Amino acid sequence: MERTAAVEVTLARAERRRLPFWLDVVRRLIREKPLGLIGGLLVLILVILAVGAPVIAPYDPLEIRGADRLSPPSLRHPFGTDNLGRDLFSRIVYGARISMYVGLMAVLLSTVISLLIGVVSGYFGGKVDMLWQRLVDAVIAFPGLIFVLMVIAVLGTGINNVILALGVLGGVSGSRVIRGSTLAVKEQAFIEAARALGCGHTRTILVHILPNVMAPAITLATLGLGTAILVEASLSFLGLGVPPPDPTWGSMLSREARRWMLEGPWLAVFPGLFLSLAVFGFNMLGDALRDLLDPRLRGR
Amino acid sequence: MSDYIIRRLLLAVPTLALVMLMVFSIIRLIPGDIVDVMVSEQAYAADKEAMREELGLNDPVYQEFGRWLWALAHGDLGQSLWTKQPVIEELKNRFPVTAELGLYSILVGLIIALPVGVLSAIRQDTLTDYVARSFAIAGISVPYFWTATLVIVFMPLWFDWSPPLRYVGWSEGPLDHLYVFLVPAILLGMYLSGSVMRMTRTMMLEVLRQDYVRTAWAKGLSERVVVLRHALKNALIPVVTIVGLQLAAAVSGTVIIESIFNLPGVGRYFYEAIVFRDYPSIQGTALIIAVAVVLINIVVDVTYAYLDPRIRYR
Repeated sequence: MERTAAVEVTLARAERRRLPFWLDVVRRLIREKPLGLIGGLLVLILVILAVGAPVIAPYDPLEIRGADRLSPPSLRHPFGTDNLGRDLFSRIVYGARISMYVGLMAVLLSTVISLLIGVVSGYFGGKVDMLWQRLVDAVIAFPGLIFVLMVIAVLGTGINNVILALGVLGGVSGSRVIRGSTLAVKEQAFIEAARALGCGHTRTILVHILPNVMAPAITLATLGLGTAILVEASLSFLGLGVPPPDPTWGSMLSREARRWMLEGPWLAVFPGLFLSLAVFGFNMLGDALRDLLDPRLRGR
Repeated sequence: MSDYIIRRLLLAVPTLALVMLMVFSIIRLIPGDIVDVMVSEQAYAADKEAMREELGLNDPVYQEFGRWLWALAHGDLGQSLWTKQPVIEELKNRFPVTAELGLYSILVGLIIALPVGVLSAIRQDTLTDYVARSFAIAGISVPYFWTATLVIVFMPLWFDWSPPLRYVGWSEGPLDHLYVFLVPAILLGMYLSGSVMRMTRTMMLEVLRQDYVRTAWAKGLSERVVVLRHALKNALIPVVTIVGLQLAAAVSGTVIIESIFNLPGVGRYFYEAIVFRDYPSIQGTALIIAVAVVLINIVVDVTYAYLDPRIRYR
């Protein structure tokens, strides 16, 4: 019995080796990470909602219909309507679009910043690295929401300022993680070999370091998307994020909206449910990716 | 040990200097003429000249920065434009409320996180573990402003009970005072418990695989003694760090929770300062929060080094 099991493992390994790296990660996600798989599916649903919003939403999210105001969930309005008679389901579907847009743009910005600064800072070290690390210390001394609110206090509300604030915050704190990975990669023999073969700094960074810090960068980005969506919602909840009439999950729960919730409790349920599922999905997927992409755990 | 503390304190000096510079720059980074906005929209001063004086925009930047630091050294954080009170006084009055909320939240968080984390680790990869881990990630993912909204909306509908939304001071009745914090602390605590639970689980798993734990099992000690006396003690050391980090996260949380439940704390003060564009208050509050976080981090690091001697020799 034992021998058969060992042979099977060897065969499975051989088969796995034939798969391209990313397909292998997806395969292992499905086989080994049930929670990560659930997260991935939630993220997929969110992407479908965001991309297909005009097709999926039965009504215009901004269309006001006085006759339909505060009607409970029904076949016509699956999630009910709000105090202006706007269809809540349509608003939530379009809300997915705004959440995803803010999240993706913020994470794009933060990934570029963290890779650029983290890799350069870790690879060259020295005074610039020292100074940058002190700046990172100063930025992360402000709790996340406080930092973002400070940026909003300077630049004002609006979708682009929210993206900028989230991107800078994620980029600065992420650069420390990337720097750490760069330091670890830099010490390895193959980098020394590359340098000995006459590889310049630029080429070493682009060809040898960068691919090896992509794993933590991807994990950071996935978890960062969840955080960005959550913070954007918090800001819109406080009335300091994406201004009305744009339908965002956060503003659908704001103090303004709460005035109608005793009459229409469904207004309190659905936006928060979608927001939670979205953040939950990204967190689950990010956690699973961290385990799957960590080279120390690879092949286990 | 004292070497370590001194090194750690010295490392905080440039950080604090940069924090001050960042906070000082807030007014100067605003695009467009801030003075116009402040006079026309908020009417904080009669004319532009008075406004410039009020915001300290008249003299060269380095002079103003020097003056600002000098005032800071004397415990002067400037004056709120909105209430005309010294910012430091406002913060002093509000700090106890936030500290209390933070303390209760952390307590709730630990009461949930530690037992569940330990249970999840000793029952690794069972249904219990999966449920516990899902709850931990849910705790981090479900925003407290949503759970707070649900409580405020559904408690009156279902149980004819609503959480108090008016603050009661300690002197007006200790029990009523604690009652005010009940729901906010539970909601914030549930959020904080997520990370602590995950850290507890990870560290327990690591420690449970070590030789000395196997020895403890081999000696025939009961599960209770092995898990609680031998393993948990060592597993808790890194948990100290995460609890420290959670304190900073709790500050973000207080901004939202205090606004919802009308608690007159530092978080709500910061939120109102931003809504009213009260820049001296924004600066003062942000500075105090950041300094507090830096100090908490030092205390956490020193505690960590004290608990785990290996750290000091790195």
